[in-house]
Formats: sequence, structure tokens, C-alpha cells
Amino acid sequence: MSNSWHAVWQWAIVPFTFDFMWEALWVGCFGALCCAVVSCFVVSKGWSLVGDAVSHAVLPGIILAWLAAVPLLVGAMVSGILCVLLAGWVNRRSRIKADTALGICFTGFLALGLILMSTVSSNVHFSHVLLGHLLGITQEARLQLLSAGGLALLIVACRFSDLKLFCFDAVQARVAGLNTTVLNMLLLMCLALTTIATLQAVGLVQAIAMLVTPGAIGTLMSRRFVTGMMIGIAASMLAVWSGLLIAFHANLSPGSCIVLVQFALFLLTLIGSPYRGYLARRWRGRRRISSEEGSPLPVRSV
Amino acid sequence: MRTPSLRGLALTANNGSIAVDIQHLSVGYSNGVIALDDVSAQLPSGAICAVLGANGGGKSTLCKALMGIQRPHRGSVRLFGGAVNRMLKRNTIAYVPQSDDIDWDFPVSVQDVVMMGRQGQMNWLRIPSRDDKRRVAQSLERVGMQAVARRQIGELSGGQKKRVFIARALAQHARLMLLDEPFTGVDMTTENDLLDILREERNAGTTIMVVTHNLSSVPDYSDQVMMLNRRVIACGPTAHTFTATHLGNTFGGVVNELLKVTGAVAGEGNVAMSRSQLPEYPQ
Ligand SMILES: Nc1ncnc2c1ncn2[C@@H]1O[C@H](COP(=O)(O)OP(=O)(O)O)[C@@H](O)[C@H]1O
Ligand SMILES: [Mg+2]
Repeated sequence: MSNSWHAVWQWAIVPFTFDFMWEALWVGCFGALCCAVVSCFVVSKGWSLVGDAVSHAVLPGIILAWLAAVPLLVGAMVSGILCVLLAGWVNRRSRIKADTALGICFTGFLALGLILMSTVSSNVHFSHVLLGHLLGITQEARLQLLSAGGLALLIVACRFSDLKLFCFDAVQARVAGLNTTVLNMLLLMCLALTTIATLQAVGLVQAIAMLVTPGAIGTLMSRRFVTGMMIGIAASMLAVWSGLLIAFHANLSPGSCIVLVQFALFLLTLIGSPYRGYLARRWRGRRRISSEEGSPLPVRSV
Repeated sequence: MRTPSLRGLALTANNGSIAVDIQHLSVGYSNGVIALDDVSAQLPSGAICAVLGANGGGKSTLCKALMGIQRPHRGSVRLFGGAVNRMLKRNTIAYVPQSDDIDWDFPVSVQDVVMMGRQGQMNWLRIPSRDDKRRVAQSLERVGMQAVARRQIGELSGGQKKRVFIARALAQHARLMLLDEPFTGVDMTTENDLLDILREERNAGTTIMVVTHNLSSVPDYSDQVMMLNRRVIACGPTAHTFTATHLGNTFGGVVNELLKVTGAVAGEGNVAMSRSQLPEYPQ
């Protein structure tokens, strides 16, 4: 017994006694925290594609900001938001639907970013931007992600209630006298900022996984917004921890391991969630038939 | 129930003034549909106005224009004498949406939804004050939904959902209430309860616009009627406006046929319809 505990200890905890693993763990968890928080708003507003667009469209901004020696988060916010505004403009001025406009615009921005990247490729720096670089974090990168993530968390903390109302019912937000244009911008800013915050962990290509999956897990697990958010954060951090371990022991890319573990967690909740999971629904369905029509609640069709 | 406030005093002072002033309003969508074409209408404050029209007649679009969500191509809307955007900041409109515009899976409780009516009037961090909580509890009680206050909103029946959104509008305590089809898919008890609440609100000085398909109860509660079919067919006091001719022009042959069956004289112009003569408009 004590032997197997020892083995678990060796496998799951001891690797983090290495400095680079410990650093990777807390940087990854911080990115996961920021993303999971913003994720709940993004998923409930149905903005997954917008999140995808922003997280990819930050690339040219990051590179130009680096060239101009401006903080990366400024460049990221400007180019991410510019992409979404451009898509919105195309959508309003033509018969092109919103998702098509977004797809066209963000791939355009991404391609521009990739070209910029190859022209300044002498700086190793940028290759990590795409896929993450959790096991070799520089002092500068740490500062970038802390300030970006911190700013995103601050925005959400100050405007939590308004953002939630904006996601649930933008018309009511407007009617209640809130400035929906500003709220729209704040949410887009949060998307760009959290992309920066998770850049080291999973990279730009997979950032959308961190921005969507925790929110989806939270939605499946709870019927309260804040509880769902807590569960999303926990799931996301669990994914960072176990993803890192798998990467460490099997010598794989940590970013992809994290995303894959998160995907597995999502599948688990999809099947096993006590509230909206597949098994729970099957079970409830059988019970309802046996108890005839006793419940005053309408049967949920979703 | 309602504490006498400055608002009430101001309203009695300018009773009979214009609450909603719509001038030559044209609204279109990006796909080229012109939903409203040169609509002009004026509604007095402190009255209930029923907005009638066939599906696609532009009733919801009118609501959106009043809230400044859909920009007009031409024309203007003024609420209580002010521009829409300015008046929105002053808690002028409370809105009860059409049910299909709401995400019923969203993880919020009934109580949270009603609290959203208070949001614009809370402090900067949106922490509900004792007054906010009291108003929310009061509104829930008025619509009889305090027992389900902690349920997730998707777990209610159709009628209960309507009641909750009316409670949200009540909690907001605005000068103008816009209700988009509040009686659709709702049983008679609920409809009567909601109508009682609307009358109380009107008597307390609120201006109310109700989009509805239930023609039969319109003469019972409305002071004004507005009939829309892309253009204004008729608009004015119920007694003069709610006539067979205007209904026929608004709804086309359907109502004409039904009127004949029920024995009303469809062609005769200025006779206002009473409740017994009117068939339910088919959904
Ligand atoms: N978002 C939209 N985009 C394009 N056309 C719309 C939109 N909403 C409504 N319409 C069109 O505008 C017209 C009026 O619609 P609406 O105001 O919803 O009518 P009503 O509420 O009276 O049924 C309809 O022809 C409808 O197809
Ligand atoms: Mg409508």
C-alpha cells in the first residue's frame, strides 16, 4: 500500500521539485485561471468563433509591438479588436454572414502575422508564440503574461455583473442604461489579454481551447454562473497539472498535452455530469416515465 | 405599494403630455427588408396602448427602434421629449422581450433575472442595496413567483417565464413599459393576472405599450390602439380606432371572414367593436 502511494508521489508530485516544472505549473495555472474566467462569458454569449478569431488575430499585433518595443498586450489588443471590428463592418455592409466574415478576417490577420514572423525570424522568440513554450519561460515573458492576465482579471472583477447581463440579454443591458458598446469592447479586450496570458502555456494556435472548453465544462456541470465558473477554473487547472506530468514523463509537447487532457475532461462531463450529463438524462428519462406525469416542470428538451 | 415620488408628482403635472413621439420613422434591415415605412404616431403618457398587426407587420421592429437598437433610415423617435439614447441612461424604458429572444439555458436564477431590472440603478460595483432587494421581492410577489425565485429560468413553464420577465420590468420601475407579445402562449388566468398588473401600473402613471395578438381583450384594457402593417393603419383612442374597418385593413381577409361568422358587420366603419363581437385572432 505505502509502496503504491510512494509511486504516485514519485510520478505526480516529485517532478515539480524541478524549478522549470514548478515555474511551468504556476504560469500554466495562471493562464488557465484567466482563460477559464473569460471563457464562461464567451461560451454563454455564443462567442466561441469570436474568441477563435481574436486569439489568432493577435499575431501581427504581437510582432509589430515587439518591433516597435511597445508592450505586447497593447499590440495584441489592437490587432485582435481591429479584426473583429473589420468583420463586423463587412457583415453590416454586405450580405456576408457574421461567421463567414470572421473566418475571412482572422485568417487574413493570421497569414499577415505569419509573414511578418518569417521576415523577422532571426529572433527565435516567435516560434514559441504559435505552440507555447512552457518549459523555458523568460523573465520578460513572465512579466507580459502576468500583466495581461492581471488586467483581464481586473476588468472582469470590476464589471462582472454588467458583463454577465450583457451575455445573457444585451437588450436588457441597453435598456437598463448600460453602455453596451463599452461592454462589447471590454469583452473583446479580455479575449486578447487572456490569449497573451496563455501564450506560454499552449500557444496561439491552441489558445481557443483554453477559451472555450472550461466554459463548456462549467455550463454542463452547474446551473449557477459562478459555480460553473469555479468548476471551469478547477478543470482547467487540473488539465494544466496532469498535462504537464504526461508531457514530462512521455517527453511530449506540454501545450498539446494540456489541451488533450482538457478535451478528455470535457468528454467525461458530457457523459457523467449529474445535471446535464448523458447518463443523468437517461436515468431521469426512465424515472419520469415510471412516475407518470407527476413533475410540474416541463421536460427539458436539450 | 408605490411610494409617492417626485416622478409621480411630475407625471400628474404633465398628465396628458406625449410619452412617445414617432415622426416619419423608416426602419430597414441589412437584407433589404423595409420593416417600417414612414410611421408617425404619438402616444399620450399614462396610458395603455395596444399595438396590433399581422406577423411580420413590424411590431417588434418598432420596439427595437424605440430602444435605439435598430437605427432608423429616416425619421426620429422621442421619448418624453428627449432623444432615445439620452433617455435610456435615465431609466426610461423597461422591456419584456418575446420569449424566443431569450437563452433559456443560461445559468441564472429567477431572482437574478428580476435583479437585472435594477442593474442600471445600482452602485458602480453593482452590489444590490437593501432597496434593490426589497423591490425585487415585491415584484416577484406581485406576479406570484416568489416560490420559484431560486429556480433556473429554463425550469419554468411558459406562463411562469412571462411572469418573471414582467416582474423584471416592474422592478426596473421605468416610465415606459414595452411588452412584446406578453400573452402569446399564456393561459387565461395568467393573462388576466398580467392585465390587472398592467392596469395598476397605468394608474400609477406608467405609460405602457403592449404588442398583442389577442384582439378579444383589447377593448377591456387599452386606452389607445395602434395598428401596424409596415405603415400605420390607424392610431388613436380605442373607442374610435378599434373598428371593424381598421381591423379588416390590418389583418386582411382573415378577420373579415371571422367577423361575418360572428355576426358583426365588417363593412360598417366607425362602430367600435365590443369584446363579445370579436373572435380570437388565429395564431
Ligand atoms: N434581424 C432581422 N433581419 C432581417 N429582417 C428582419 C429581422 N427582423 C425582422 N425582420 C423582417 O422585418 C419584418 C418585420 O418583422 P417584425 O418586426 O419582427 O414583425 P412582427 O414583430 O410584427 O411579427 C419582417 O418581414 C421580418 O422578416
Ligand atoms: Mg414580433
